[in-house]
Amino acid sequence: MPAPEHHEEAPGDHTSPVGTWALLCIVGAAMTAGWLFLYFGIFLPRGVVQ
Amino acid sequence: MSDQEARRFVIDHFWVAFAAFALACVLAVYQVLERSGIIPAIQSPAVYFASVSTHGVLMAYVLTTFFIMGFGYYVATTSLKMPIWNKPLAKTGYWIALGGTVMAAIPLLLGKASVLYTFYPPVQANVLFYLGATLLVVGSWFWAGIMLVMLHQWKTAHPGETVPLPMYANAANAILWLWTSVGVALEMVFQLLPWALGLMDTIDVGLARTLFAWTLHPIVYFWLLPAYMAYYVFVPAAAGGKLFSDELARVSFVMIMVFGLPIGFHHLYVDPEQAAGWKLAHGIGTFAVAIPTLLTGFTVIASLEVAGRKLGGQGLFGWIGALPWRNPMVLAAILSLLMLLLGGFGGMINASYAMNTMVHNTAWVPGHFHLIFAGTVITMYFAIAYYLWPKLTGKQLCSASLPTLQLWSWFIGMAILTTPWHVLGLLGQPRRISDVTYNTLLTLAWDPYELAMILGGCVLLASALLFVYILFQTQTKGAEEPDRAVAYAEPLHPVVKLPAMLNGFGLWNRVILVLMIVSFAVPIGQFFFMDSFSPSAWGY
Repeated sequence: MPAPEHHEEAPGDHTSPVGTWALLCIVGAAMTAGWLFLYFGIFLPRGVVQ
Repeated sequence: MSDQEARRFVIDHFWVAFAAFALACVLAVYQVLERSGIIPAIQSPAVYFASVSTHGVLMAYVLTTFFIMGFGYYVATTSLKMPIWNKPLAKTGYWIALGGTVMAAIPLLLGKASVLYTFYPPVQANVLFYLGATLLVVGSWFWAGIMLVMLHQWKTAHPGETVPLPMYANAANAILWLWTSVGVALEMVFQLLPWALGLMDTIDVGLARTLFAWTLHPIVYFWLLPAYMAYYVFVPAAAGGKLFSDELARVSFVMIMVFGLPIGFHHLYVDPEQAAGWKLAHGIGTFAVAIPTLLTGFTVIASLEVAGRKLGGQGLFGWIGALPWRNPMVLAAILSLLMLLLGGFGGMINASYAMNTMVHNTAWVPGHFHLIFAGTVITMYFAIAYYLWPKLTGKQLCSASLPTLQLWSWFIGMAILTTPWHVLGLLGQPRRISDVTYNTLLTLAWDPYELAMILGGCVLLASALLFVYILFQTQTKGAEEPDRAVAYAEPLHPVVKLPAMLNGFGLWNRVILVLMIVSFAVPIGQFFFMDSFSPSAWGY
C-alpha cells in the first residue's frame, strides 16, 4: 500500500480568512449603499417617464 | 505536432489576438477624439461608425476567441499532460477562424459593415461580414470540440481520478461557448445571411434581437472565464500561497455556466417583443450570477490572504501589504478584481428592472462594459500573457518592471476613461452617437468629461502599445528562460474525494437544457405563431 502523500503545512494554512470576510462585508455594505443612493437619490427624484 | 510545435501553435493564436487588440486600441483613440468634436477635420459619422464597428468586432470577437483558443490548448496539454487531440483538426479550426476574421475585416474597413459589434437588424452589413463572423464562430467550435474530446480521453484513461482544476474550468468554458453561440448561429443562418444574400426581403427584427440576446450575455462569461481560471490556478501560486478551496472553484465555474446562460433578456428590458414576465425572470437570473462572482471573490481573496499571512502579514488587513505587488499576476489580479467590483456594481444598476430605464442606451452602458471587459478581462489576459510568454517562447521577460508599469497604466487609463463615461450616462448622453457638439446647455455640460475620456484613451493606447512591445522584445531579444514548466496552484487542502457532479458535466448539461427550454421556448416560439408582415418569423 503506498504511503499517504505528505501535505506540507505552512503558517496561516489553518487560519480562518477573517480579513477576507471583513473586506467582503465592507464591499457588500458599500455596494448596497451605492445601489440605494442611485435608486433613492438619483432615479426616483427624476420622476416618471413622460 | 511536437511540444515546440504546440507552443508555436499557441503563440500564433495569441499574436492574432494581440494584433487585433492593438489595432482596436488605435481606433479607440480616434473614436474618442472624433466624438468630442475638438478636431473638426476628423469629424465623419461614416468613418466613426466604421471604426466603432471594427473596434468592437476586433475586441469582442477576434481578441477573445483567439486568446481563449490558444489559452485553452495550452491548459489542456499542460494540465492533462497529453498532446492536442487531432492536430490537423485544430489547425483547420485556426485557419477557418482566421479566414473568417479576414473576410469580416474587409467590409468593416471599407465601411460596408458599420453595424456595430451587435449587428442588430434592420441595419444591414455586406454579406462578407456575416460570412466571416460565422466562420470565426465555426472555427472556435473546432476548438471547443477538441477540448471536450481531450477531457473525455483523459477521464477514460484515468477512471475515478479528479480532473485537474485548470482543465475542468477550461472544459466548462468550452461547453458554455457551445451553448452560448447557438443563439447567434441561428440568427446568422436563418435570418442575417439569407437576408444579406437577397433570398428574403425582410426579417423579424424582434426574433433576431431575441436570438442575439441568447448569445449576448453569456458570451461575456466566455470572455471572463479565462480571467477566473487565472485567478484560481495562477494567482495563488504567484502570490506564494495556495488555492483556498478547489471545490469552491469548481462550484463557481459550474454556477457561472448554468446561471450565465438563460439571462440575456436584461438586454431587452425596453424592447417591445418580449413580455414583462420573461424579462423579470431573466432579470432575476442575472442577479443569481452574482453568487458565483462573490464565491470567486471570496476564494481568490482568501487565497491571497493565505499567501499574505505566509509572507508575514499581520492583523485584519496587514496581509494585503505583504503581498508581492511587483509580481504581474498578483498585481493584475488585485487591479482587475477592483474593476470587477466597480463594473459589477454598474451591472447591478443595469440589471435592476426599473433603474435600467435611467441608464438604458446611455453612455453608462459602454462605460460599464468597458470596465468589465477592458478592465477585468483584458487585465487578466495581460497577466496570463506575461506568465506564459517565457514558457512558450523560452525567453525571459525583457524587463521586470515594465509589465507592472503597463498594468498600472492600463488601470489608471481605464479609470480615467470609464468614470466620466458613467457620469455622462447619468447626465443623459446617448450611446452610439458620433458627435456630441450640439451647443446646448445640456450637451455643453458633457465637455469636461469628453476631454477626460480623451486623456484616458491616450493613456490606454500607450499602455496597449507597451504591452505589445514587451511581448515582442521578449520573444525576439529575451534571455533564455530555464523554467518552462507551468506551475498551477495547489489547493490548501488536497482534494480527496469529489462528487461526480464536480468532476464532470453530464448533469449540468441536462440542467442547462431544461433551463434554456424554460427560458427561451415560448419567447422564441411566439414569433412563429403571431401575425407578422412577412410569411414567417424567419422571413421566407
